[in-house]
Amino acid sequence: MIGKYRKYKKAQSALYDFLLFIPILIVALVILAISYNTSYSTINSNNVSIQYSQETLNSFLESTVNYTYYSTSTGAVVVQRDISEKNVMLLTLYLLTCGQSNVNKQSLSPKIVNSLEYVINITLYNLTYPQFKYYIQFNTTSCGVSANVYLGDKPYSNSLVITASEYIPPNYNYLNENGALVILAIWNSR
Amino acid sequence: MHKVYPKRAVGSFFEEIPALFLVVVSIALLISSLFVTSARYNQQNTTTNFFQQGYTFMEEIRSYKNLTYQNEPGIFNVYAMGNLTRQNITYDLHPMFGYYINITDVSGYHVKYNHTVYSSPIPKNTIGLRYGIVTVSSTVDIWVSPTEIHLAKLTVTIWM
Repeated sequence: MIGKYRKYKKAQSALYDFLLFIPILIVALVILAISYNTSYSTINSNNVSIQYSQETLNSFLESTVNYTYYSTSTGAVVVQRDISEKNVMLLTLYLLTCGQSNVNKQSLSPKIVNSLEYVINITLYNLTYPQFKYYIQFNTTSCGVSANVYLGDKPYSNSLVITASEYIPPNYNYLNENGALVILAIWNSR
Repeated sequence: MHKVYPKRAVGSFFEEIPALFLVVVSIALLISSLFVTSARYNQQNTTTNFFQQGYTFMEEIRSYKNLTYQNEPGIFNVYAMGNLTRQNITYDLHPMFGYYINITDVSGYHVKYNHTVYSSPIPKNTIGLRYGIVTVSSTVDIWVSPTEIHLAKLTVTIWM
């Protein structure tokens, strides 16, 4: 009797094999399904986002502003009409580094309507779709002084931030030593 | 004879039924999973391809020779924006899908140069559409004069 049961138990080894096989099969198929899903969607959306931010930065730098100004101790100085956004940035950095001491640096603030930083910020705000957030940062070291301007929102720690950067060469009307580095970052806030 | 051969044969057959059941179930699971994965892959591929079509169409508009200033991609000549018509798009770009193109001037200038052209209104839902609705966007400049360049957003929606 005992010998007979032992013989029958041998047949059950196939059952144990399949009990082991099924979890492995399920895990393998789940991994396969997930890998197909992520690889396609992520690569394409990232490439498009990178190109979008670079195109946005390039177009933004070339566009012009109809009116902007800053203040000095003697009064408001209206900046040349139709100045490009990149020259607005260079002028801002120039005033923060090499500018005359009578420049009212508070008048550059984005909180003051039509100020230099306001016209940069409002254009980007109008350009960005509601579900996206942005920041723009431009900096230089000139006349022995470093200046760094940051406009926009701060990204969340877990957000996928797409950045584009551009070097603006010196323009001797506004910044007579070094150019400026501009970084534009865009991310989805939802 | 009766003790040795037939009993063992019958016993062995019934003992293999659970194992056989598991084999059938696992093969069914394997085949259905492969079908699901394949269907998902095809769907993803189709969506990606249609998205790619939308993106390519937008890039064609960004560099459309009848619209750009000095053939510079992404810089539209304000005096040529009237060339962006349904007839010209059909003749030059041959889109095989419905489209809605919108250029919105976001500059601070008082005069805005907005432009919209479409094959038909955007469907309210995707029922009856084979590939769905895809929207892509980009940023462009509108050249008005050497000193006046407006910033604008280009939004392209396609459906099929």
